[in-house]
Amino acid sequence: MTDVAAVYPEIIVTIVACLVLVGDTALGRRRATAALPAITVAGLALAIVATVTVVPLGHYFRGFVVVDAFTGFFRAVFLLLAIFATLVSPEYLERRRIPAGEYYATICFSTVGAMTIALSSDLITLFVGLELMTIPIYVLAGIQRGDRYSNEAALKYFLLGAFSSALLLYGFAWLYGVTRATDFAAIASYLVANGVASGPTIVALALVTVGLGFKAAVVPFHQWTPDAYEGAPTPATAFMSVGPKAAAFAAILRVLVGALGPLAVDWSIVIAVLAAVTMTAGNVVALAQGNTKRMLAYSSIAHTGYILAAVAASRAGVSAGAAVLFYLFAYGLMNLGAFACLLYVDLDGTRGASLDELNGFARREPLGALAFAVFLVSLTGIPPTIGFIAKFYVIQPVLDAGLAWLAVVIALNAVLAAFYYLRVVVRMYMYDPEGAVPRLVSPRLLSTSLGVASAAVVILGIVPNSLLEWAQRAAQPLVR
Amino acid sequence: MTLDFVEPVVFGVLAAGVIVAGAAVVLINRITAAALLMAFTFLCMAGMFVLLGAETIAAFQVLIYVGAITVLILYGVMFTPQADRPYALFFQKQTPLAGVVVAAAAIPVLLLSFSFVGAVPKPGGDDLPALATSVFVDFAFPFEVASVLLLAAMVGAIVLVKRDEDSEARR
Repeated sequence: MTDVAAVYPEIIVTIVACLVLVGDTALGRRRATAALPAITVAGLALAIVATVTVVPLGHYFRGFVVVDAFTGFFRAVFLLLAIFATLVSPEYLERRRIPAGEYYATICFSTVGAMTIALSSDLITLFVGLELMTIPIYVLAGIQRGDRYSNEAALKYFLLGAFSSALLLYGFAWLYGVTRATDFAAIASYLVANGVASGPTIVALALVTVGLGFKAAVVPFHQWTPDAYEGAPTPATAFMSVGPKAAAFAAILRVLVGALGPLAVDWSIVIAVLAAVTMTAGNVVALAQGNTKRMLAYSSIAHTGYILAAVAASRAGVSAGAAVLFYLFAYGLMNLGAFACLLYVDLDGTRGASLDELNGFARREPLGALAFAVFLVSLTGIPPTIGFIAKFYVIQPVLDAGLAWLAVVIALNAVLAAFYYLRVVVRMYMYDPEGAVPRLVSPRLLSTSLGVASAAVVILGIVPNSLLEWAQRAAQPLVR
Repeated sequence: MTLDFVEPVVFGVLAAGVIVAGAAVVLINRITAAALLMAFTFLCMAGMFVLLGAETIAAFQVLIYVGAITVLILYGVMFTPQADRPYALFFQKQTPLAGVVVAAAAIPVLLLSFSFVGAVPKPGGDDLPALATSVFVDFAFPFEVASVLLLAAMVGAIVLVKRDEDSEARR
């Protein structure tokens, strides 16, 4: 019974998904529009309560599941992101006639998958969790079936996602072939005992790195990202850009740092170079974008680079792991918020907003523009926001690990990024709207949740200590 | 009288069935016949599993491949418009190249298979409890997550292909 108790949060979220699906047909359209988000949010909140539970830390289900501080942190992050994504969606779904029940259920299923990644202590659990996380996301990308771009997004995401899953699985097979174990701890101890990386181990390492690189959208494995993010319905993009990204990094931490930690000498320099390439490419291409949604897609690639830099610095110990976790939390909050701000101007079609459409946005929707500005300032990394603290915490372990050049690249990239983020802020506040401006949507629920989130971005930017301590506790299990 | 000769003979018959029917699937022009012959190769493979003492796998082979997949393919054939001309025409130009590719893949496998000559299969039978233990005890958690995955995939597939109620109503 304790085995089952160890996964109460996952069970609760699965039940919520089924409840929402059944409720969608049982309640009738009018009542469902209000009830479904309420059920989803209540269920997810209950699951958050259940994460703070009962079972002692340790392994469950014959070693396939591990409950530790790391699991707890990621469970809470995934659930919070799912709640945020649910709260910003209802008005959009109704306007676009997107099937609401299936939309929320899909988010819940994906969250269960992400949580499964976080609690995996075995390659098998991790892979099944990864698939359960991504397959609903393909559906989410294409859920607006009448839209050509949404179809394109779903198809591209699906094809490249399936391709990368195959690569990853092939890498896992090699890893199993070399170490005769699927358990992370057993793999690590085999690698410690057998010392130097041999040919097959390198093949496994390369395949796993590429497979996970695709999932996290690391340059040069990022080509699906801009089209998938741009084409998907905007609230789906908001969720896609943060949930799966955090889950991919949970997998990277579990596999690269956890299981393949003894090979860190081999992979850390590769990851460092990938990080530098990713942040630079993401920022340079984002500079050239005239569409805000596409710009944010490229900027999310750049942020992948910053997080990856902290992964590369894993030999610095707990502070590196904590930096990854803290950055993921910060990134989730501010990036989901930034995409959600586009919902105000997203009237027809899923193409986001051109820069011109945002001219004078502050005068038309003062509170929405303020929230957007806060998220953009935070994405830039200017104090007193959480984005600044997150970058600060990344640079410290990077220096400790002796990667001074990478720290310089991060700093230069932050300057580069400031240009295109602040350009949007300038247009919102200092330009006049041109011509006949279409009326904005002013959804109450969206504004409220954006208000709360932007307040959190600022408050956690001023008093980040408790969050950081939590991240440090959560990173502890990764250090041997 | 010893019955030792039975096993090699049965194996020979099954192997011939797999190879002949498999070749016929590729060579034959009528697609329905090809699908049914494919079911026959699956059935022969199930026989092989029985011979190895893996009755449960044989049962799954029959249920999944001979049953479900063949029916799926036959449905696919049924719903696809059939062209009049034989489709073998399309493959004629590629035959030599395909032969080279197949040989390149098959010959190493063939050579490799001789390395198993000495291996004795474990005495079979009673493999169901072992399978049940590994699915429902040892691998219980990944198995359950996989079932949630299938549910999510099914919901997703329905969302992506079901008819749009609104556009139906407008017509």
